[in-house]
Order: sequence, then C-alpha cells, then structure tokens
Amino acid sequence: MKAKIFILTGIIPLLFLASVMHEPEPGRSMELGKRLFSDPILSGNRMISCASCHKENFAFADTLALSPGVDGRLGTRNTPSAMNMRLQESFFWDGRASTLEEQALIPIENPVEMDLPVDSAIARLNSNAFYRQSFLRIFKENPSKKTLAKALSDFERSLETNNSPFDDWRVNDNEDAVSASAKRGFKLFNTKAKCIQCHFGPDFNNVEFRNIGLFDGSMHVDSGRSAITHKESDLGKFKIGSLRNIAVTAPYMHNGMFKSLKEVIDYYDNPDLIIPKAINRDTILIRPLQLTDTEKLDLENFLISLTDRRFLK
Amino acid sequence: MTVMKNALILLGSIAVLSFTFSFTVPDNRILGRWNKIQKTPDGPLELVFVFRADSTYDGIVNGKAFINGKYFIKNDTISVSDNSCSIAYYGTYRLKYFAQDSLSFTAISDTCKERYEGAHGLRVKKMQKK
Repeated sequence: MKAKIFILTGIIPLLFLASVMHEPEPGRSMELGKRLFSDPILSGNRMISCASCHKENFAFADTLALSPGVDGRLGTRNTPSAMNMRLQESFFWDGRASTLEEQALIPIENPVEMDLPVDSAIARLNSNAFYRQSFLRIFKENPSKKTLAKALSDFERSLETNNSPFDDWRVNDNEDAVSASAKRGFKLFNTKAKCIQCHFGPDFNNVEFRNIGLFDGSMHVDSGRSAITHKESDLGKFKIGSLRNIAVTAPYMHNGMFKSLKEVIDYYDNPDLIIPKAINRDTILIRPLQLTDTEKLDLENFLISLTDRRFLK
Repeated sequence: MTVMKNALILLGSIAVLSFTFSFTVPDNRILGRWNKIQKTPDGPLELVFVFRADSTYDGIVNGKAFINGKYFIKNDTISVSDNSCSIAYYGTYRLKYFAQDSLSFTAISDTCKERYEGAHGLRVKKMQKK
C-alpha cells in the first residue's frame, strides 16, 4: 500500500509536467512561426529567440532602450513592437525591408541580435526531427529560407490588435469607452498638436519617413533612413511608428531615449529644449506647440486609449 | 363637376406637398453601416463605414478605427471632411444607390489624395443590423 502511494505521488507530478510541456504539433504556418519565434535554436549561441526582445506582455516590444542580443551585445536602436504588421509597407526603423518575409530573417543574421547565418539556421532546423516534420507537414518541403520566412511572417501577421478603448468608442459608438480627457486628447491630436499629420490610418502611422529632430550629428548620430537610401534629404529620418499599444511599449523613439509618454509629449511640445541643434528637423516641428499641462494630459490619455484591452490592467 | 374639381385640387396639393417634401426632408438612406470586403494575399480586409445622424462618420478596417470626420448631403452629392487630410477641407463625391442596399462613391472634387484613392469608385453594401 505504502509503495503504491509512493508510486502515485511520483507519477502524478510527472504526468502534470508532461501535460504542461506537451504542445500540440503546429498544423499551420502561423502556429509553426509562433513556435520558432520563441525558440533560441535560431540564435548563434542558442540562448536568444525573437521573443527575447519582442516580449508578448509588452505588445511584442521591449522595456529596455536597447535589447541585449547574443552574448549581451547591444545594438543602437529600440526594439519596435512586432504587432500590427499586416498593413505595413516597410520594416525596421530605417525601412530596410519591404516585406515581412524579408524582415523576418534579418535579425537572425544580425551579429548584435541573434548572430546566426540563415543557412546555418536552416541546417539546424533540418537536423531537428520536430521541425523537419513540421515543415514537411505544413509546406510539403524541408525547412528552407523561404518557408522559415513564411512561418515567422505569418505569425507576425497574426498579431493584430483592434480591441482598444478608442476602437470601442469609434467602432461600437460606446461613448463610455474613453474618458472625456481622452476625447479632448483626440481632438488635440487632430488639430493643435499636429500628431495626425504623421500618425494616421488604422495603426496611427504612415508609410513615410520623417525627421523629428533626433539627429544632431554630435550627441545623436544615427542617420536613419539615409544610411539605406544614401540621400542627404533622408538624413535623420526614421519610420513613423505605430501608436497602437503605446502605453506598454516604452521607452520610445528609435533610440529609446524617452522613458514615458509624458517625456514624448514634452519633446514634441518644444523639441529645442531637448535637442537644440537638430539637423534637418521636419518643418511641422519648427515652432513650439504651446500645449498647456491639461492639454498634455489629455493627449496622453488619448494615446493610452489606443492600447488594446489585453494589455491594459 | 364640383367633385371633379375638388379631386383635382386635392391631387394637385398632394403633388405640390410631395415635391416640397422631397426637398425639405433629409435623405437618410446613408445612415448606418456599410461595408466592403477586399481579398488580399494576406487574407480578407473588411472596410466598414459608419454614417451617423449627427453628421459624423468613421472608417474602420478590420475592426480598427482609421478615419473620423464630418459629412453633409445635398441631393446626390456628399461632402466629406476627415482627419486623413485637413479637417477644414471638404471633398465632394456623387452618391449612387443601387436597390437601397448598395452604394457607390464617384469623386466630383477632392484634392485629398489619400481619401480620393480610397473613396473614388468605392462600392459598399449596407450591413444588416444585428
């Protein structure tokens, strides 16, 4: 009897562990991509995955200004959210990729991110029975650059959010979904604060690149888009980021220099106070906005209302 | 004869009233939700437009609000102003209804490129109330 109890107490935790650890085999490209996104098999030292920097709880962004990659190496740009990618036309802060498939493979090879040649990643996947079978089942072929990119990008495409208080207000006519302050903030967003001139559309961004004044050639030296296009007119320009889920994607800007939305709004209100000798700053920001403290708070409340309810506590 | 005369007066009055009524009562046919589903390689895109009685409207794509503005209608012409361009500027489109549950927009004048590209030639279907 005693032996039976011992056996049972030993087996039950094992069964529990097995049930927790067992994940269903991916049946679709997106499901396979989800698995790959969190698997460090795609990094040189097998310690870093896409999810190491694109953290689900923070709308697949990071809370650090710069995310550590393989062996703690730091890049120079803030990890953007991997959500709401479906309608985007360019990827990365400098727009160096024009499709999600192209984007998906670049961090794997980047020496300061995952540092693994894509050919080596493919070889690893081919020598892994689980992945080889999964790729064969889903794509009818062995892992390849094309199918790896397809799986990862399909997963990213699935990360759409449309359940923010703002959506609830506008889509469902639920007047109680956002506060009076957020409604005033929306009006400011469209008028005095000029945000709408760059942040519009379903994801509150657009396809353009703009210089908001974070390049001065001395303290702030990331030239952004011009490193890709080699055009002087693109100096200091960066992709206009989506504002969806912005309450949980701090720190902000391409270099993560602002820790809070308040800091961001203060910057836009009067950029010269933060970076006085910016080069090529957009003419939209040529004069201070002269927002009052109440207006700044209203804007902040509006921005917070763009965050999906799954992230709002 | 008097009966005939009275009948003619009555019919004439009805005709005059009907004519006047058609110019004074607002055209409410646009009120409600209209949608269009576009097929794309990445899956369907559902566009929804909500036209409200308070002369505001919203555009929604896959459940995401993306345009918010004002409109007014005169005869078969709708004037629209929204946050895709200057809020002070109104573009105009000709409306054409098909069997009451389908509507098309044809640009008359709109310098707002983003809106023109989305709205000119747009055909939407009336959504059934839940």
